[in-house]
Amino acid sequence: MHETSEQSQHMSDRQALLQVQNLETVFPTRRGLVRAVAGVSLTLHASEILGIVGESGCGKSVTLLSILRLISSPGRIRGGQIIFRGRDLLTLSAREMRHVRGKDIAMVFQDPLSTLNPAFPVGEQIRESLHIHGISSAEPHASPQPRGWTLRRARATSEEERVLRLMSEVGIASPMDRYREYPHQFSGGMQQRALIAIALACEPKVLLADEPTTSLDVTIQAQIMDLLRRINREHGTAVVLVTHNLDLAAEFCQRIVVMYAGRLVEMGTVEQVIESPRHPYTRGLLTCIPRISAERRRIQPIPGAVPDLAAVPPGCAFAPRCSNARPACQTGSIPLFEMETGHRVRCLDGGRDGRQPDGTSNAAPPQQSSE
Amino acid sequence: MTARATYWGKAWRIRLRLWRRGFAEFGYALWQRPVVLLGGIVVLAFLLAALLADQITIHNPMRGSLLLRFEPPAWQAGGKWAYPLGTDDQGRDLLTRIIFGTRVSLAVGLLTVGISVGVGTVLGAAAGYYRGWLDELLSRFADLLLAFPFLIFAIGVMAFLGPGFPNLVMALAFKGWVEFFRLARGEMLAERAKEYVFAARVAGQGDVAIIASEILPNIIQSIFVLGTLRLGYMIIMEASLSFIGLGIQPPTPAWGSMVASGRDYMLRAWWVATFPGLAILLLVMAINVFGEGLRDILDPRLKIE
Repeated sequence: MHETSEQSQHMSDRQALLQVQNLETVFPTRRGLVRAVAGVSLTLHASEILGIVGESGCGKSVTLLSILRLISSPGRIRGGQIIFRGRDLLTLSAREMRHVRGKDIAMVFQDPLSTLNPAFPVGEQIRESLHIHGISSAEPHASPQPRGWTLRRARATSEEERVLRLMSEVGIASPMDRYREYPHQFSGGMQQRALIAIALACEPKVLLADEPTTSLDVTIQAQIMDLLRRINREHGTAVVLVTHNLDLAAEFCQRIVVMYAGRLVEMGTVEQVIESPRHPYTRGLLTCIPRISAERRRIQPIPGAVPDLAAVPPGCAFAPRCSNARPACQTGSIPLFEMETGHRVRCLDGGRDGRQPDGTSNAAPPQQSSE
Repeated sequence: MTARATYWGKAWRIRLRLWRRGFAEFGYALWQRPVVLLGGIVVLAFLLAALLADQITIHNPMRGSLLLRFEPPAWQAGGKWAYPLGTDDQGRDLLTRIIFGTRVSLAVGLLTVGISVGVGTVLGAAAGYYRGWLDELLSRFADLLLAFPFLIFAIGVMAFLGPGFPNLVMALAFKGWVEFFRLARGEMLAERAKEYVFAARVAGQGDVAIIASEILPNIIQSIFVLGTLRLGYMIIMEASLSFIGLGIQPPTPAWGSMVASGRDYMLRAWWVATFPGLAILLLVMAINVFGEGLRDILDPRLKIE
């Protein structure tokens, strides 16, 4: 791949920015306790792009919301740790957590129109995001406590310039004209760009993107992904991309995490996961992507359906749909096996030629010795 | 703390600037609806009459001359142009009293609606946003108040408190806020589920900031429209209470009590009761037409684009 050199460069300065350990998020329902996230551990390195892939309801979005601690009641985070720059986010006070949201960890959503406030022009919304965390007053050239009308005016103008810069950075054409337009006057792609501008306003360390292109058409999708990649390169913002589109993740991410029924089933670099998938679910996902080619190939759907999260079978959650399932798959918990550096699979098949199970800590430890 | 305070100030200043910009658009929409515009002009005329009552009248609204009792309106036989709408049983100029009566009507109406909007919106927004026991408590109290017919309730409160301007406002506002509470609560329930509210939380905004500067601007227009519509209703309530003697007390001119005192002379001097009644009709109708028009213009759900 053409990005190999860049990737190895990323690997060499691996530094855990965000570590999720044994995260468990549950929702009590009438049918029982739904474990939407059942013990997920993953590591996000500084300025990398990590993809979380899986079907609807596999817990990928809930994982993101858990990181921001925005699980709405009656759902709750039952266990685990979320270490961000040395602090466990789960132990922060509500007030401290508010300072993390938006400032350190920002998020971009699936449906941009409903995410923008319909009452205000887009430019003002971007500008407002500068105020939430007092970013604009922290600027060296702006007076921290502007007094009087003219000074305030000056500060407003410098902020407006900043907003215009942000708007042109995310590729909103003629930002001067669009500053005062309302969200509904923007096209879907432009709305998403505006949202990215809002997310970027505070220069976050981590950008969580929850299916940011699902509601957009394919050409716009590519533009938005390019934009996210550029932001990642130029600002060093680590990006977590949640998507059900394995193709998209393969093209865009450096590492991929595959989730199934609230569990992490496979993780590794793009090459490891896409070119030599070890988990039958990952393989299934790859064979059911339709391709445009001369030969007409039937796409192969994965038989069966996603298990009811309130009643996930013991053992491997994928076993009922797996063609290689053995009796051993249906008992006990399946550990993550390390196939090669960084490539881990939660499958007993992987255990045959993989290294010894790593039951306690599933987070990827820094593998600097092997580089 | 100060950063948050300036942030809010900022947010609202932005909002105000937007509203100012919206006025041009608003003026055009009004121009396209002549009836609404007419209603607005009538309301404005009453407002000016109330404010400038001392300047535009020449007679004393409180004291008349018994020699001039029941002068007919100017256009009737025996009428004088000095008393365009005639005089009442105490020889006071009717037009003067009607103009001063505008003060009472509008003051009671605006004050009551103002208090109701303030109290109702704040409580409704809080109840709709936080839900839980606060919502339960306030909603049940609102249900309790709604179980009483307004006039009966107001009569009861006024009988208890005694007549007078402050008591009248208190009695009307005590039940008036419920409408705004229910509207604000309902709108809040609908808005809080929307994604932009969630996005605001993701961006790290606190609850109060979200309510005040994210959601409120989205629901303030419907509250404003309801406010104009309730204004007419409150004016009728004041007139009704004054009519039965529980509102503004004579000799202070109030339309309700003027109608009441004119009722006894209906056959002898029809104008004494008729003109204050017409004033009530005209003002309330103008307010309602204007309010409905405002709803058409302002409600984003009725906008095509």
